[in-house]
Amino acid sequence: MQGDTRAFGRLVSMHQSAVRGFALRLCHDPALADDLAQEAFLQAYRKLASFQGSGSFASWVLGIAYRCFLQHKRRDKRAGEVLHLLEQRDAELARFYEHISPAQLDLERALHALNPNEAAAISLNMSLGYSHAEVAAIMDMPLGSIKSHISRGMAKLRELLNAEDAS
Amino acid sequence: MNKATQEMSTLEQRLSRMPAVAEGDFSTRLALQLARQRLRPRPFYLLAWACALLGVLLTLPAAGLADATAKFFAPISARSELTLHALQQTLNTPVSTVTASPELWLVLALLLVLSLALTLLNALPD
Repeated sequence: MQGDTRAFGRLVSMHQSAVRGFALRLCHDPALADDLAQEAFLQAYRKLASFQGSGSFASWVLGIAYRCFLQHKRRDKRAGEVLHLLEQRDAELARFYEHISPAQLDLERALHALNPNEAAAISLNMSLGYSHAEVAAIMDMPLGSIKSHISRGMAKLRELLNAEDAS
Repeated sequence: MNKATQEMSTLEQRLSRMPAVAEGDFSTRLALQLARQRLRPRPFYLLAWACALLGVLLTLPAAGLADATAKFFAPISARSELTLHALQQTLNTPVSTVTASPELWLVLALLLVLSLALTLLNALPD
């Protein structure tokens, strides 16, 4: 049991950055992102015996994190709304990441303007490198829906970032 | 490469570089939550504690509690064979001679403390 805990701790260290970053792109709130990531890892620990190894451990935990977000959204209709000032949010974002360049911060802000499905699909496919089929499995959605979310999300991102560059 | 394609590849490149998240106290908080989860009652620990408690009840000399507990767990056939006279005799006789041994209380107390310590040690994170 102690060996399992140690091994699980190593898995958390390896994947906490990806899971927390993914959660932030879903909910736009660093504190809530950490809560969702924590809940995802706790659920993963409880259900470790049910992990069949069909995908990677990381993709499994990301799927759990996505479902935690959806449950939270159902409980709290205001989930995803950015309620505080833009400057405060930027300061929180900068603290959340280890090092983030201004250009990368612009991109993170633009991702927050997408709806959760688009942000999730793009994060999993473009940022974390999962294939469309793997993203469909993680988000439990049809492949066609995933491709649509990615396509629409990328179009929105291009528009937002071009508008920012122009201003 | 036209402008749209160039923009797309730049955007894809930026997206592929997901910034690392500062760990902060995340791992510590998660470890504490895991420890709390593991301290929650589990069937094995409940059974162990129940056995320890039963052992204490069986050796307590106070007010015939040991007798009552032993009679409760006595086989049904044994109970049914008891005559009134035998029952009176049973009530007057200690269930076990060890009831008169106070040293056993100390051993039981030590076992209880050891069981609690092992439970906590097992639940704490490494």
